[in-house]
Amino acid sequence: MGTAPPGRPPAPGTPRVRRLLGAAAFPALFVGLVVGMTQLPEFGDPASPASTHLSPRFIEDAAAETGAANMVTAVLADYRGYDTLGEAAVIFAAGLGCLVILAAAGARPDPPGAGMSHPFGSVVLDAATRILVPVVLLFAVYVLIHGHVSPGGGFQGGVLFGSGLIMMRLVWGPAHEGRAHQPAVPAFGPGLRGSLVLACAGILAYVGIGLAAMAFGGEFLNYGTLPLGGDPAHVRELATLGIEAAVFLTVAGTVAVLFDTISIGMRESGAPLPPGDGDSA
Amino acid sequence: MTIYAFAAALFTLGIAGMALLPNLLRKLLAMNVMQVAVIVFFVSLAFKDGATVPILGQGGAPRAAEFMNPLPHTLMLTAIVVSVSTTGLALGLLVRIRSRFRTLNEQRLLDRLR
Repeated sequence: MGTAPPGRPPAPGTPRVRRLLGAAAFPALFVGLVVGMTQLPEFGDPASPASTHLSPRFIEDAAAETGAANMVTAVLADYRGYDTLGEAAVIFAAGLGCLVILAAAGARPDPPGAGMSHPFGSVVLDAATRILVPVVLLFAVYVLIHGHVSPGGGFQGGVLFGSGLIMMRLVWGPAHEGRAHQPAVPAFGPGLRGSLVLACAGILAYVGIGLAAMAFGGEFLNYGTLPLGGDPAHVRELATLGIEAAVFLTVAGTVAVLFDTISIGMRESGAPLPPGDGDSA
Repeated sequence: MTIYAFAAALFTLGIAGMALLPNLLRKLLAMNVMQVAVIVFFVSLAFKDGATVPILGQGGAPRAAEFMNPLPHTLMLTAIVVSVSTTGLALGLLVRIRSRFRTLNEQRLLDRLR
């Protein structure tokens, strides 16, 4: 625990007493939470308020109205599309924030490629990555387009795709430079700038679907009116896939942007800290 | 009931870690533990005895008693990814703090800020 360095004015009460008093607050919090939870409906109770309000409507009508067998996808991209737009915007904003904090603050408009400063680069890792990365990226797209009928969708697929991008950066190093140690590795995948473009394209596509619905006479994101042919449920199914794809791009791009900016920031932040200053303590 | 107590224990651990640990990175990890507690609690509210996952299989019209509540799953699905990206943003802030003040220890940081 942090002890005050000499020269700092002493705070009222000894540190030990204050820390004990503070620590005693947390058992009290736990007891309070458990006492409050005794008032909750029994675990698994089908008649609990959470299961009787709104959710029967979702369960019984979602498949007929949206064409998605996976009700979670139907709720995510259709009934609560507005909420999901907000979530995607939060994720995108987090990526932008990290970019502003780290990459932009480094005062270098075009950082020399993103990735680990010291790629691992062994033969075994290289071979394994060549085999694994296509599988991971393909599986991500599968998870995205299968989200209608099985667990999956834009968020999960996007994170998977992003992890594939990160795997390449970890093993092969920066996306657009520093391949001298392994000239045989093909350049593949978006760098920091490309990831940012992916994320922007995703959020713009999401808003674009919402505005297109308005242009064809619906409300914002009420995309049943889009002229995609077929019955309304089929139109909603297609538009839901569009929404999921937009979320996919946003999440995949943002995950890669976060990794790139943090690795750039770490590279520029210099040597490890002395013990006790934070890297280990 | 047990799962609620488990969520409460995780939540308490997370809050206590955020308050008591001296290192900012550990505080961030403790905040993640707290977020996981909220997610566990939310998803446990979706559970219904005798119901299955909210994905329509073969068969006739779905009845509400047959499937679990899809709404908490939806909310937590997005919450998990949002927590990943906010954690990334927090890590970015930590990197800046580390390079500027050369410490992640809360007390030393406060001393250096004076």
